[in-house]
Parts: sequence; C-alpha cells; structure tokens
Amino acid sequence: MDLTRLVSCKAGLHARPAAVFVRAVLDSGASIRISREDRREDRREDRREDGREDGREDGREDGREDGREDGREGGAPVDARSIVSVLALDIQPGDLVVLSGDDEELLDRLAAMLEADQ
Amino acid sequence: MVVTAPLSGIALPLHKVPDPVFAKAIVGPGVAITPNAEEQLVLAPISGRLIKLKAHAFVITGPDGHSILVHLGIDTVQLNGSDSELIATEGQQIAAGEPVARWHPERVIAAGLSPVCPVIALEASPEVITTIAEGPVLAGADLFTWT
Repeated sequence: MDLTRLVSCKAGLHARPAAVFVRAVLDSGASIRISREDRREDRREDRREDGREDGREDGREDGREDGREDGREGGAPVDARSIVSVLALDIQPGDLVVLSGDDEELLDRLAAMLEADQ
Repeated sequence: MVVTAPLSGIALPLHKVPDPVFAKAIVGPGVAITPNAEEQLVLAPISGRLIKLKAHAFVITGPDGHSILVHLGIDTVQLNGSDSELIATEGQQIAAGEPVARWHPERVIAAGLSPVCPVIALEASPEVITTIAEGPVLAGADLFTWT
C-alpha cells in the first residue's frame, strides 16, 4: 500500500459511523488499512458501578497486535473492511488515525468522512 | 451459536429500528429489543471476550471468532454514560448471562432518545441468522441463532 493519510476523527468512530465507514470501504472493493495513533491522555467517560477506574489490562490471548496497555497507545493497522477490527480500535472524538491504501480518491473520500462532524 | 437476549422487553425486527444504519443492517444482521422501561442488568448475549465496552455499547467475540454488538438505545453516545454504570471490564472473558452493565432506559426516554437496543451479528451474512425471537423476551432467553 503506497499512500497514507493522517486524519483527525472529529466525532470518533463508534458503532454507527464505523458501520458507514466500513460499508464505504467494502463497496469500493479496495483494500484499506486503518490504525489509531497514540493519544496523549486517556479519556474515561464510563462510570463504573463499583467506583473503580476502568482497569484496562492488555494481554490479548488471541495474539493480535494491538499494543494497547492502558488504552492510550494506538496499534498496528487493521483491515478497514472488518467492523470488528475497526470498533476494537476504539476511536474517540479527536483521535488521529492513519488510513493507507492505493486509491487516492478513495482515501480522500474516507478521510472526509472521518473528519466530518457526524 | 445461540445468542441470548441481553435485556427483557419486546423483540423488534431490525428494519423497524428508528435509525437507518441499523435498520438497513449496515452494521450487520440481527434483531432489536424494545426494553422494558425500568432499570435493568444488561447481560452478555454470548460467552467470549469483551473486546469493547463503552457506556452505551459493547462487543463480545466468541471462541469461534463470531462477534456480537449490543447497542443500548439509539444515539445514546451523546448521553456520555449518564444512563448506565459498567459492571464488567473491557478485555475480560465473560460468560453468557453474566451482567455487563446496569442500564436505565427510562433516562434515555426522558432525554428524548429511543431506548431500542439492536443486537447485531457483526460481519455475518443475513442468511446465517435464524430462529429470531418475536414478541416478549426475557433477559437470558434465546434471541437468535448464528449458524
């Protein structure tokens, strides 16, 4: 894959926008990869019933290279045709992602989708 | 794989969900539940690993690699977690029927949002989703089968 695009995801990529994004990739027939850049601070929006911090330990038994220790670090690029992989990236509002592929026009379109205010 | 209902309520065909991305199965095939409008424990619909856990949605990947998404209400990401308290932890192994969160659909309704919960078989083709429940469902009862 020759081309990469660094994109700021204005509204994050939760279920609805992730599904629309993945659908656009699938419809294009192209092979696109996406990864999340490290973020400077972890965002904890979830409230726990027991008051604990959301202790995210890594230790992925499935051997996938995610590299997430405490949720801040980004990871290896994943196949943007897989909604499971895209959701697992946990792209929050303001996160930077890298798109890579061979089709410049498609990358422009996908980047615009992610940069939009959803 | 049998997928069980994460909540009690009334089964709603996906095409009736008030959100076109879910209704057109763009997220994937499955079924939705209109929850009973009272505080409920949200239960894991399958056994597996909680690969994603947010205040309004979670994904569990089963041992066969199949993933189920449960989305609590429509557009509820904008409530910033005020409608739920997490019980499980992202990344943990969980058994079907174990509680993931405590949710308050009545708060979602009060905020003017839809409490309908899509339960989605991610990356499944529609024909592998069968025996879909209809009518009232109890949390933990069979919801659909992923063949």
